[in-house]
Amino acid sequence: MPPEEESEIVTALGELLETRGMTLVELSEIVGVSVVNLSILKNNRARAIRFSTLTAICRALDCTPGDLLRLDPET
Amino acid sequence: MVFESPVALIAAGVALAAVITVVLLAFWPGRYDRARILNGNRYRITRLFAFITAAGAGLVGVVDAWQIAIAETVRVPLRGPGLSIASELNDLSASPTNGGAPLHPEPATGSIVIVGIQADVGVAEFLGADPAVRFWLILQVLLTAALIVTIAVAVARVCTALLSGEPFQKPVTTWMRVSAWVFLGAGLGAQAALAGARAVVVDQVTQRPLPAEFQEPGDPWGIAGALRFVTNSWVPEFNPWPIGVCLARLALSAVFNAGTRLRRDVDGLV
Repeated sequence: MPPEEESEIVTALGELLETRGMTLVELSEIVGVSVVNLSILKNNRARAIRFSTLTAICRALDCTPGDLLRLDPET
Repeated sequence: MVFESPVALIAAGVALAAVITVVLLAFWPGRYDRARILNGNRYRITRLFAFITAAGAGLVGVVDAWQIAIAETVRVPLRGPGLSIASELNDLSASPTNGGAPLHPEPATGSIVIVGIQADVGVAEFLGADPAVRFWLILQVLLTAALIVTIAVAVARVCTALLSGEPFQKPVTTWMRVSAWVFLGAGLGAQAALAGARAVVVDQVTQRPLPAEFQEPGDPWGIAGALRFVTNSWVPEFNPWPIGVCLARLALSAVFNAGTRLRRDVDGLV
């Protein structure tokens, strides 16, 4: 089994929610993903994301996957 | 298993019935919505049995080893006897070794003395067996105990993991793999140890001259024939079941390893 590696991908979910004036609870109701999981994604603790989740979030926030995910500039 | 009295037989039957009742009650299919509670109880009961088995096997192993070390007479189980020998020796009901044939009634100090051969059950009994025989027999007993303890602890470890709600853990995989190799080593090692004990016994028996009354053709009880059976008994018996169990447990270990990897992949998936 390969060793666990730290992900260098970070999400801009917090910024996107802020610019759209949306809360995590509202996004959770729209995309059908639990607040807990969205919180994990927002705080960069997620290690993988389903395409279906990504699609739903992008549609709800009217953005592209590139707007939501980016490579951490500090690494 | 031999029961000394009807009371012992009844007690064993009651104990067995109690265990079967508990297992049936615990594992009887229940309502679907109670599956979580039922499964929890099943894991707890299985774990309890595993701990009892491990403790019992360890205790019996140590006690048996101690008894072999200090006992005056050591019994060495031999390979299956010929029926003709058994029928002849069974007639010796008045012999002092409970059906066996006394060869050397006066034990010689410091050397092995055969006090009886029970060919009907394939057991040779020796008075003052030397340390080599005792060593092999103790090794066999301890390896068998180690084998049972390891398997039981592995089962208990799996049950604990299931009770925690996460069976696919690295320690479970490790226990599976370790128990597989212990099973292989102890299973084959116990057979080798018994063969070692038999080899020493046969060597000592063949080196010792038979009393004149037991030598053919004036052998009235077929003792010489029985001794031929004893001397043929050194050929090791190879039972391959430890290899099969080891492979099965390694396969289980691989399954748990795959499960652990899958869990790790799913962990943190949004």
